[in-house]
Amino acid sequence: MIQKIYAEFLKSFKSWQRYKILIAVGLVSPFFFTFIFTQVFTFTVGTGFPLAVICEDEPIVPGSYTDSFIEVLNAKEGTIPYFEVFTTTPEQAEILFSQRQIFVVVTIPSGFDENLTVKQPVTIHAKINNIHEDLSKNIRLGLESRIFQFITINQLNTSDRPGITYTSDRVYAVELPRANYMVWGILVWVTVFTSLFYGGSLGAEEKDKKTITEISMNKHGLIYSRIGKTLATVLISAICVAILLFLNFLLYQVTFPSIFSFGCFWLVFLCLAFPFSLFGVSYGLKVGDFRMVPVPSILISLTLWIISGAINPLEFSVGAEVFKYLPTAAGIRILTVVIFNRGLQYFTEALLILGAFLIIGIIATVLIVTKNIREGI
Amino acid sequence: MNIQRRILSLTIKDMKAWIRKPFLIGIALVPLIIALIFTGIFVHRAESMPAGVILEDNDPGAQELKILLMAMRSGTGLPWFTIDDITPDEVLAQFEAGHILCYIVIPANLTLRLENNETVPLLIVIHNIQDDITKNALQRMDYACNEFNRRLEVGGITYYSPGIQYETIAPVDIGFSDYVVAGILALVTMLSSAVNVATTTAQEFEEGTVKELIMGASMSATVVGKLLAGVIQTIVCFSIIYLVAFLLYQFIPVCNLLALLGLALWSMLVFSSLGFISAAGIKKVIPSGMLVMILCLAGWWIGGGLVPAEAWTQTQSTKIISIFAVLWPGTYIFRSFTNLVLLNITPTLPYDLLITGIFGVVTFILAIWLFNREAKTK
Repeated sequence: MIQKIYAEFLKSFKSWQRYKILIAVGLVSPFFFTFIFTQVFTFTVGTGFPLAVICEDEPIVPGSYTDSFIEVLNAKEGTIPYFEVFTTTPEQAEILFSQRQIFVVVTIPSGFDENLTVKQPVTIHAKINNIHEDLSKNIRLGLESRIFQFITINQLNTSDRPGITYTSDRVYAVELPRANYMVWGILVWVTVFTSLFYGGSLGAEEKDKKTITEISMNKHGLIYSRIGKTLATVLISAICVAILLFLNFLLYQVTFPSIFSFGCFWLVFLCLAFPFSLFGVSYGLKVGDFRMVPVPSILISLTLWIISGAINPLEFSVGAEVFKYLPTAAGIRILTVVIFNRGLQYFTEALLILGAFLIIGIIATVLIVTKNIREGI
Repeated sequence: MNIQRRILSLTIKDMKAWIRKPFLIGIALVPLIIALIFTGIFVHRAESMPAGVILEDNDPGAQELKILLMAMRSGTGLPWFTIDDITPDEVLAQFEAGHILCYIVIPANLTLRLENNETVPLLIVIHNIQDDITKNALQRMDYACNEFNRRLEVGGITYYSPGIQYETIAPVDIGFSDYVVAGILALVTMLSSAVNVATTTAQEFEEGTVKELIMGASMSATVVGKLLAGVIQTIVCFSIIYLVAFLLYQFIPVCNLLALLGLALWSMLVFSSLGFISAAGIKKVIPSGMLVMILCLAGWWIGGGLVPAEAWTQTQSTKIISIFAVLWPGTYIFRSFTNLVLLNITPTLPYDLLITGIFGVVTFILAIWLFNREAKTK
């Protein structure tokens, strides 16, 4: 039995090596996703976002409130986003705004300095292109942050008036960039994707090549084939994940902080890869057509990844109470703990969920094998 | 007349072949439906942050501030903080359990301290799993402080600080799902037309019928017939996606439907030649279809499908993506589509049509040349 499984395992692995396109899909798409996601979520309205400013009172007197306000708008410290301020005329601003070259125009009204000096209300005018909720949110809150900074410097810190301010305390002393968080989460997606994709491809191969009859003619041939292909898929996925880890190390300097985290990572990998590979192989054997494999693999793996706290921690996402039971969510949470030492309160629960998933995978294998034996396959 | 008949018969043949093979329809539709469901349902809103508020006493000023924190809304009406009315112990327990991401402590005697002309610091404790949580919490606190300080009345005196008045193009901020749907409608016109033309043309190479195809009529008639079939197939896909978007999100464009159809047709024509080039170059159904699909999906991302491409900021590490966005003609289609569908404005339309038109002409000429060469050498 072991020999037959090993033979199937070897055959599947060699088959993977032969098809360059399969290797490319399993490596290029995760690499591409890592790049795109880390870039997209680091640079949207993060720094250098253009902000057009129109001053109705010209010229700007150095040391005036207007001057101070522009300085604050242009500041590159405190809460992001950091704006790249340029002063302009209303006509020029209108052209740039209508051409969508800029998304916000701030007008500092006439009498800004005088009104602030005599403690009268002033209202700054901001014209924003609110075509995109997240962009608008960052612009609105970004401007509010700058105004708060201005008030703190010019009114609250000078004891000019009463008011409220705030101090912040954080659970973790060092901030963890979202891109770093996502890079590790993407590896969970890669595990699921490669397991489903390669499992499905190897499973479909027999019908595609019309060798399924030969396999089923052997006693328990399909069972050995399924197990061998599943094991080969796990190995292939491991190779893909290892290559991606190496690329992440080269490009983003991503490393394991300890031997323990290294071990935990591969444990998470195995807990996810085995059941998903089994599912992929079973699906591939069922449909028997490679063309039916890529789209469902992408669909399932991406869905699971996104709803499992891919972009933001699960608690900050819609449906967290339900999605926390997903094995992928548990995987991301475990990695967050062992890699970044964050979210320790979820660790035990996540371990239990992932363990349960692996057990379900093993039970499913036993059930399938038992059913096949009963049916005389 | 002969040419017209030739084009028509080729179009009908391709349409029949397309309908008979669900896989071909699937490859043009499924990625779009996936994108529609995914981005719309799972990444659909700016986040509301689960938070707690602890009042050190029952000061009326503190109560007022708590109400303000609970009432703060985004441009779409989403609460900035989701705050439950619970006891301080419950707040701390929820924070420990990770159910809330931050809590705000409002100190005792707030009103009295304000009357004494003090600047009173609140405390916000953040569960900073990653920096985006911190950023969101701090931004929202800045906003809360501004709102509270803006017209602060203490001891019969009103203290002012600068306020901000927003002028927006749309009455409320356009939701993320609406933006994505508009982008996906644009994507349908590009992806479906390119994929449909690629798969039906590559099929001629795979099945060895390409020689017969070019023997019948002029090369341009063959190409036009193929492109026309691709455009009709794309109109079908466009209608299906539009229907799905309507059913899922009750999405209705604010623009004139004819204008939308005109722009969609333009985009279909412009991008269909891309599929032709892919098919003539690769000659296999799946790889040629996949290639244009990946190209269009990557272009969707970079060109403004998720966030307007012009909003990509020019930092050193991301300059390359900004350059891709400028070079990719789909960017201009996305801009026109989102402007038209969401805001009913077309300030950049002439420029966008010009750029995409040049791209369309160049790819069309290239498609004829490449198909001619490859078909004859087959």
